[in-house]
Amino acid sequence: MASSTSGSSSSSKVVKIRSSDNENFEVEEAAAARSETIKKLLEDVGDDADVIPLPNVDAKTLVKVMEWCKKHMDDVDELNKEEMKTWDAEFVDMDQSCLYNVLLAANFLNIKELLDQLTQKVADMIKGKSPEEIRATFNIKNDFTPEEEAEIRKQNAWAFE
Amino acid sequence: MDDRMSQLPQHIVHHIMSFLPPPTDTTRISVLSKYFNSIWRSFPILAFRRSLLYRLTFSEFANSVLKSIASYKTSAPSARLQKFSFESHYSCLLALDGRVDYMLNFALQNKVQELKLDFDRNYTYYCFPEAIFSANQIISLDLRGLRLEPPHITLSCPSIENFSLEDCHGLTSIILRGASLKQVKLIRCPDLRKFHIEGPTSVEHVTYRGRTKWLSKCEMNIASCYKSIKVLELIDEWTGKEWLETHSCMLHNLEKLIVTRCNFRWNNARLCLDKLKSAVLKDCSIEAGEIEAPNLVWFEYWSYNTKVDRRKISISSTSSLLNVKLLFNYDKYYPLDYPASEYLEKLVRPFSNFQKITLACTTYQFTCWQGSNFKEVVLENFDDTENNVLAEYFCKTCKVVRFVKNITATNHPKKEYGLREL
Repeated sequence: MASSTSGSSSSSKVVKIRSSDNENFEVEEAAAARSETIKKLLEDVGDDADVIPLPNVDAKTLVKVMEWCKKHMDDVDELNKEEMKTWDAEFVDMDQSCLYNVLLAANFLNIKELLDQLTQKVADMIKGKSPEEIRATFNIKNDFTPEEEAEIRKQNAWAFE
Repeated sequence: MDDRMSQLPQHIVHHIMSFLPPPTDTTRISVLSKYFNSIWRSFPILAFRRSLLYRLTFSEFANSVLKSIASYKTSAPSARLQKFSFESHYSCLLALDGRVDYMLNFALQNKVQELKLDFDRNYTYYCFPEAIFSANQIISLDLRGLRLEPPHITLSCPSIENFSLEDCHGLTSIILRGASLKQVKLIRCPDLRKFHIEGPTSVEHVTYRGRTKWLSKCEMNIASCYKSIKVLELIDEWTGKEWLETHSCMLHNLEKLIVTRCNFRWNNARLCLDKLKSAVLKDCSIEAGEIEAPNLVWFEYWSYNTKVDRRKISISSTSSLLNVKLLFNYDKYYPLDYPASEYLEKLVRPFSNFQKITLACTTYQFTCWQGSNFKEVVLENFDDTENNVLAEYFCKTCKVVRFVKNITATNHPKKEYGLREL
């Protein structure tokens, strides 16, 4: 990447990425590089890259992820921290199927901070709930027989009081 | 709706579980379904806190921990342990029987990255094995309420980033080494006389809390991280003033300075710090001091002394963003030596050129006030009638007056330290 000074100035350099459903996006390099996966790909292909394909992420999810990356492009200073917190809280407030998609995308694209925010959001949805409530929230099917379940509960009875 | 949760890869579910309060919420995952049970069994964070389960005796608690360890061993035989934490307060004399040693050996054998051990800080019986101070894989080590023998320790874990020692007895000198070391905390270790950080290091955050009543001096040498240090916190430290005067000019990258109860007379202390953004002085008796910090944006001063105030602090900052917060204790049961208005005026005078000021107090009876040119005033924790009087006054001179209620207990000077005697 050392020889990448030709062309447009580095501050507003744009990279092209393609979603799994073949939609192309142009994103500022600084935003895209929040993803360790994209950053690594860019380093590997250098300036020859035409479009970077992201086979695991659909367009709708990619838009969402890049919205986050743009917002988190620059370092936040002390005074804007509160504002950023509010923005982040609103960002992760999405419906469950969207949440899973963005979560898996953040995992694939390796964006640690976003992954932390999303997993924290899911943890908040679990926190303080009984097993029945957790199953209902996420539609998890209980495949234990009543005897098996009773046995597991007995092992750590204090957690279920 | 599909059950997408059960399709998430194991490491993501572990990641989610790492944000749940252990052990109750994490353990509830075990009964959701067979899939989640297997995920729970290999969860690489083993955290146990007895205060939540205090119906158990120490022995029963230790046994339940050993059972969890056995179950983890069979489910995740080759995985490395991310975190092992064992917190047990109240009568942990039985820690001497070898079970805690067994747990620590298990943690070390499974290449634990974060290790936390927290015993009752008033009875430090458990002797911590020295081998851990050089363990290869440890990233974070957090120890409280232990007896450390031998009295001289050198920390040399090659990957360690966070090191915290609190209420540990027996230890008289400690040398810290580690190229990845970022955060160091030494709190109330009563026997400590020598504390060195030796390079090469890039430590960013140092907290040191002494123990004033012992009148003991601790030799602190952190010269190897002068360039990297960003946050410095000194509490109850007799040598704090001398140390700051001699060394502060070398802290080129210091961004935040917190000095609490350094019970010296800070006469003509002068701090010159180019990168300093935030300075917090709590309960230090300063008679005159000068802070030269062109980039300062936050200055916080906590005053509990209601005696005649001769303070002359000057702050030179070119930043237009400077915020000042003053916290003071003024209580009808502990009246001031002179009128409140005079007290407030003196308190506020050095800061009258700044943009925004926050005044906060515990209980305050307002009488009258002569003020300055603030653009914004924030009033914390005053009651409604006081607010009205203050607001009426400030509205004449300021553009913005805001009121804040419900300051949390931890920010509350009265709750934290109690009223100080005159």
